[in-house]
Formats: sequence, structure tokens, C-alpha cells
Amino acid sequence: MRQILLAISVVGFVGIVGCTPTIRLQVPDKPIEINLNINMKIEQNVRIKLERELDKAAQANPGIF
Amino acid sequence: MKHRLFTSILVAGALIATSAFAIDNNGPVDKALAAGVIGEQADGYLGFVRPPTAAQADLQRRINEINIRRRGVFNDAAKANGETEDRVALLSALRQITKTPNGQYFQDSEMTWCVKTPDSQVMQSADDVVVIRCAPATSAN
Repeated sequence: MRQILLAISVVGFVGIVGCTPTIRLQVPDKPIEINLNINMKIEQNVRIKLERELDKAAQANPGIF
Repeated sequence: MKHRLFTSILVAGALIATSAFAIDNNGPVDKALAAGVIGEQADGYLGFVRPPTAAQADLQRRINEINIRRRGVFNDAAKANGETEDRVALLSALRQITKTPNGQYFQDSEMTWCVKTPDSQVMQSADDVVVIRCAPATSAN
């Protein structure tokens, strides 16, 4: 009985420790690195499609565009 | 009289609150854009025109946060349309630099910072290549 209680408390303790939130939402201090080929073609049909998408995103994310 | 005073105080308070919110929203970033400290890069992200100083760490963090969120948007839009993130980012750069006011900084296709003027070229050529230039190419010869 004692052992069972001990086992339960150990499991419980591990469980609680395991559940302690350690996720930290931290914005990195270093800028994100982007290597982009600038001399790219964007066909008009693709552009129209993506423009629509970006318009939606700009509305949904005020302040980033 | 008392009632009117109360109303005007209420209105004034509301006005102050609204303007404070507007300034708070993206103030430091907009201010830095207007001051030419940061600008729109040709890759679709915001960046410092000159390497940031230690005093600009807070601004750097704000920019990073915006850029990370932009990247998420580009990624989502790319996935949803069977496109590459690069192409979405480039199109976004074209849009952002198009709407950059004269006097603010942007990066041209060579990744060189320049000030937007009415002569700046931000467009697509006849073969759909994205063109971002400080000013029209001078054809001396």
C-alpha cells in the first residue's frame, strides 16, 4: 500500500513537473536571415491570385504591412 | 451647465484615449520609417538602413516581430497557392515599396538602400520580372 502511494506520488510529481510550462514566446534579438533571388518573374495570373491573398492577410494582420 | 461640462470632459477623454491608442499601435516603427532609420527591403521584410545601435534594440525587436509575422503570412499564402515563399515575399516587397511615401527608404533590386522619389521605378517589366530601382537607369552610352 505504501509503495503504491509512493509510486503514485512520484508519478504525480513527474507529471506536474512535466506540465510546468517552459515554452517561452520570445522574439529573437537577431534579425531573421533571408536569402532571396530578387530578379524573379511573377506571372500576371499568379500575381492576381497572390495579391488577393496578401490583401486578406494585411486586413487580418493590421500593423505588419 | 454641469451636464454639458461632464459631456465635454467625456468627449475629450475619449479623444485622448483614441489618439493614444493610435500612437501606441505601431508608433515606434512608423516613426522610424518616417525618420529613415528603417525601410522596406527588396526581399519583403523591414530592415535597418544602417546597422542598429544598442539604443535601437527595442526597435530591432519590434521589426523582428513584424518580420516573423510577415514570414508566416508569406508561408501561408505560398502554401495555399502552390507557390514558393520567395515569390510571395517578393510580390509583397513590390507592394510595400510601391506604397512607400517619397522621402522614405527602400531597397532596390541590388539590395542597395535609396530614398523614394517620384523617379523611383517599382514595377514589373514586360516579361514580368520585378523591377525595383532608385531611379531610371541612366543610358549614358
